[in-house]
Amino acid sequence: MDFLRLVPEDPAPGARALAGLRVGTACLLILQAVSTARDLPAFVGSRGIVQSPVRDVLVHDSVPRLAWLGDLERALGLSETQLVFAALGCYLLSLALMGLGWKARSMALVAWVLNLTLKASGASSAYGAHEFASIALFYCMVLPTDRTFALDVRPGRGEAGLSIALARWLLRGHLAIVYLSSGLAKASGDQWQDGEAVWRVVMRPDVSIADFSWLASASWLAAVMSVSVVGLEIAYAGLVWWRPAHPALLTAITALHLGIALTLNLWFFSGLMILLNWAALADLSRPVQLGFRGRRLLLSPPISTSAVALPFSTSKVIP
Amino acid sequence: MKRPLWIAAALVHLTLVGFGAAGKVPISEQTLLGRMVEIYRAYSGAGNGYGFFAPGVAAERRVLLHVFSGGRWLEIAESFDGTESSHRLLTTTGLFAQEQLRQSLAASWAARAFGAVADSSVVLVEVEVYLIPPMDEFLRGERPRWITESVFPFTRAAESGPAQEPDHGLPPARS
Repeated sequence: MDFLRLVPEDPAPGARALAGLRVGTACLLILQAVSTARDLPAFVGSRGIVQSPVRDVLVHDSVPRLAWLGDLERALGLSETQLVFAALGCYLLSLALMGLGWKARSMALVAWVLNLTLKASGASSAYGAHEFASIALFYCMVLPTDRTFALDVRPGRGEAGLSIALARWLLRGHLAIVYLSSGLAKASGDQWQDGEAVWRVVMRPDVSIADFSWLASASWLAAVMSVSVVGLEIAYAGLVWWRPAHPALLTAITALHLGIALTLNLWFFSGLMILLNWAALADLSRPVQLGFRGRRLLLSPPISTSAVALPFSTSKVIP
Repeated sequence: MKRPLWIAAALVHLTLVGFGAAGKVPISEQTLLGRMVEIYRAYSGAGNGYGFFAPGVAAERRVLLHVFSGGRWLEIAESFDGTESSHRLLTTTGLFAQEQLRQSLAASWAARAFGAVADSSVVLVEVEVYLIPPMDEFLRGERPRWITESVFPFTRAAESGPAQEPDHGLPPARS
């Protein structure tokens, strides 16, 4: 079984996978933060939709929040709104530097703390995307995500094979627990056994991609989809440890999350899940060639003499 | 020597992730070790649960604010233009499914309304839930609809000071 092999033959693909997690997380979280920037005071401010005394019961008392900076706010003569946007600005800057790979692990630490602070301050409105954002930033900080695709990669910096292998093994373990617990929780409910769950999801008022009312006439399809989702999530926990299953597993789980994104507009949540899965499972050991207008384009990042590998295998040349 | 330590740390982390997924607390927070473990779980995300739409898909909720001001009732529906902000708002309204939070949440919304409408004296926080009929009932003619789940009345305290402008202005009220 793969989990027993903690020293890979070539750590470079693993380094690329982890770097992809860092860069992708930075890009996603920047987009997420920018998309809600204008409304942020309503979610994290002390006079927002849900005020501090109510929000505070939703989060552990040790997690930092903007209210802790009250003294700093008064000392600097800032309004609360200005403090919120100052924190947001620092968060965006740290994410950008993390993504670019300048002192990536340190910037990940800064982004992680600010993410926790903003999430705790808006605990009443934080959902799965925010939870996985914190998890992804935690892993960007503690795992070797800066070995490649980074501004300050030094030629002499080695790629510690064991640490990268263990990192990917850890990600697989975490994702296995996530999907297994999710699948078992779904399996325990009647809705996921007879298709009602899929029906209730696609009939939500915020689903605008299409009218899915026809599904009531094809309830067998809803049942098949429901059982398939549950089956995939439970099977994930076992298949994640069997390397030959990784391409199919990665394809299936990516398709699942893309479907969630398209149907429910949960783009950031789905994006983070896809990133975590690719960091854990993608085999980036094979080079790719893309053909266009008679030319072959071999993509190669400035890391080593090896070609960059993407999980596509097309090599068609267009005459 | 470093390798076994890293492996041990990873195993401990995954164990805590497992406890979080199961909704269990590994060590009572009454002890110092338990307190440290809970802080680690809160910071690292290892304490999270992963019951997405499980065991069932919860009904969607929305909040309507009815504000009595200047002798007439105004109706305010909080909304945001962006998809992500709308998701955050949905998450907030979804908290009304937790009975122990309903009164406090409603009070928060009411406080926001009192702040937005300076001369308001009464605010009714109406929570609506979107009921989706099962597929067989849908085929028999039943249709999804919003229904009122609960209404929370609030009045402005006589000794309260002047209303403060909320950080994010509520959308325009309609009478």
